[in-house]
Amino acid sequence: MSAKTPHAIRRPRRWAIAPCVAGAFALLAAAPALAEPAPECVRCHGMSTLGYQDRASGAVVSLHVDADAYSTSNHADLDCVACHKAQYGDYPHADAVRDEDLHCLDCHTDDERLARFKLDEVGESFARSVHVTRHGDAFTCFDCHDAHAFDIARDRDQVADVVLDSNAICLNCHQSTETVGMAALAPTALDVAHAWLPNASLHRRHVRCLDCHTPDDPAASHEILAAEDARRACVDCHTADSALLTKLYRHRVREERTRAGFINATVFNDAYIIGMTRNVALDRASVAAFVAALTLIAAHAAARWRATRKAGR
Amino acid sequence: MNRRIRLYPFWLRAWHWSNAALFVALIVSGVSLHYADPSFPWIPFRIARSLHNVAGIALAALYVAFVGGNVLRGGWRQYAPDTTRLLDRMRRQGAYYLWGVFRGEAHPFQVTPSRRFNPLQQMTYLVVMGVALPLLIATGLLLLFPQAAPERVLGAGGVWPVAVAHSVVAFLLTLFFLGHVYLATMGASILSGARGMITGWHEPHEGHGQ
Repeated sequence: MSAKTPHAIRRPRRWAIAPCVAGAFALLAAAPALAEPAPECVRCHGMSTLGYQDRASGAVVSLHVDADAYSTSNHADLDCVACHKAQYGDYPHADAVRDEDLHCLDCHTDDERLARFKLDEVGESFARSVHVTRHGDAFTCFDCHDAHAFDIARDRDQVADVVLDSNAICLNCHQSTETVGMAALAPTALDVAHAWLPNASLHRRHVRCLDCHTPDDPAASHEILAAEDARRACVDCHTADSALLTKLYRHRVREERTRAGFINATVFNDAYIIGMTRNVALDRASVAAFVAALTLIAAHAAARWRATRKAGR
Repeated sequence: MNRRIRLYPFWLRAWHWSNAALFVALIVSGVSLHYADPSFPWIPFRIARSLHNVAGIALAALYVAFVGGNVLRGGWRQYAPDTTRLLDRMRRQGAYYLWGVFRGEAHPFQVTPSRRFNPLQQMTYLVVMGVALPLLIATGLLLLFPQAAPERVLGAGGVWPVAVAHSVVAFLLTLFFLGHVYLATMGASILSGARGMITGWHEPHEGHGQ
């Protein structure tokens, strides 16, 4: 482990060994880099029901890899064994393959193609996140990011889709799984925690959990904040210099500036955010009309006063 | 001195001043929300939001009461325009405001219980109470329940046309508010208009036209 790499992101979950199995078959086949997992691996790991029950926790661990999602992911050009290097030649695989240690930064450090994503900063901010400070090494990159489906370049025209994708990651763990009977109607712990937030469900659909649960510093994108440290000041976002401009709208604002030089175009097209969404022309017209009305009234009142005095004389 | 006229029933005066107080609260909280700025917290965002919501709902309820009261008590007739030479009569009233008042001319139209408004007032109030206020309330309710707003309008988010319409109408009504307050000073004396809306008695001007 390198000194500069946070320890927490170097320990994979056990389920992360799933594709390792696929890698063994690929090795045997000596296949070149593929656009999808090797067929030998998919034969078993393509089954959505493939999994086992962890003896320690009793939890069912899935060993399924969605081949379609993988084939369109950022890792599609990598063969299974590019990451999964343990001994998968035997079937059933040896128990030892469970201890395979995979780390994002093994591949993603010092890679010029990925320099713009500043993965060193990601690692450092992740190490400060509540996930790591509370759960330690048990929490890894793979708890949020599925290496078999990860696709940062996915075309997301609509901010709502970005929000949906991002929040789905959080809700995967933080949402109640009670979806039947009366339990489904009861407020979840998530609802209770956000009871102070006006229009909580609307917020959830239009901004990312991260927009409130990360610090202002863009470099701290993976420093997830605990509830007590998260943003609660409405005016942080509901203002012209909104925090959302450096968070949810960060990349889109840059795109729009380049393309049209008009920041509000982005915001207008997606959601109306009181205090943030402002039409400069309308605002100026309002002020001008207000000043004109007061001036007219003052002039009229002055003329009346003058006429009254004149009549009095 | 001319005899005072009983012009405003109690329910109308109560509506008027409640409506005025709510309108001021809505203007102040609305401007505070639209121009929200952490370095200049006029009214804290959360308080402004609650104030705007409560005052807005109360204003909407009062509007229903206003319409109901006018229907039941026949006040709606005050708003039914007499189209006979309407433009000419509006021009005469406009001419009085623009220069007649400076020459000491008499008000061109006399106030009576069956005709409280001059032609310009009548048309303005008709638009304000019949079009602008319902539009303001409807857009305000849609902003209060944004899930009821259309998802998308012309390829853009559905809430923002509603919000822009709400802001524009609110601003136009704020201009009306300024004009209304000023024109109220043009009665028999500067305060007689406001006094009449408190006591219910209209103090006639010293000279009148029709």
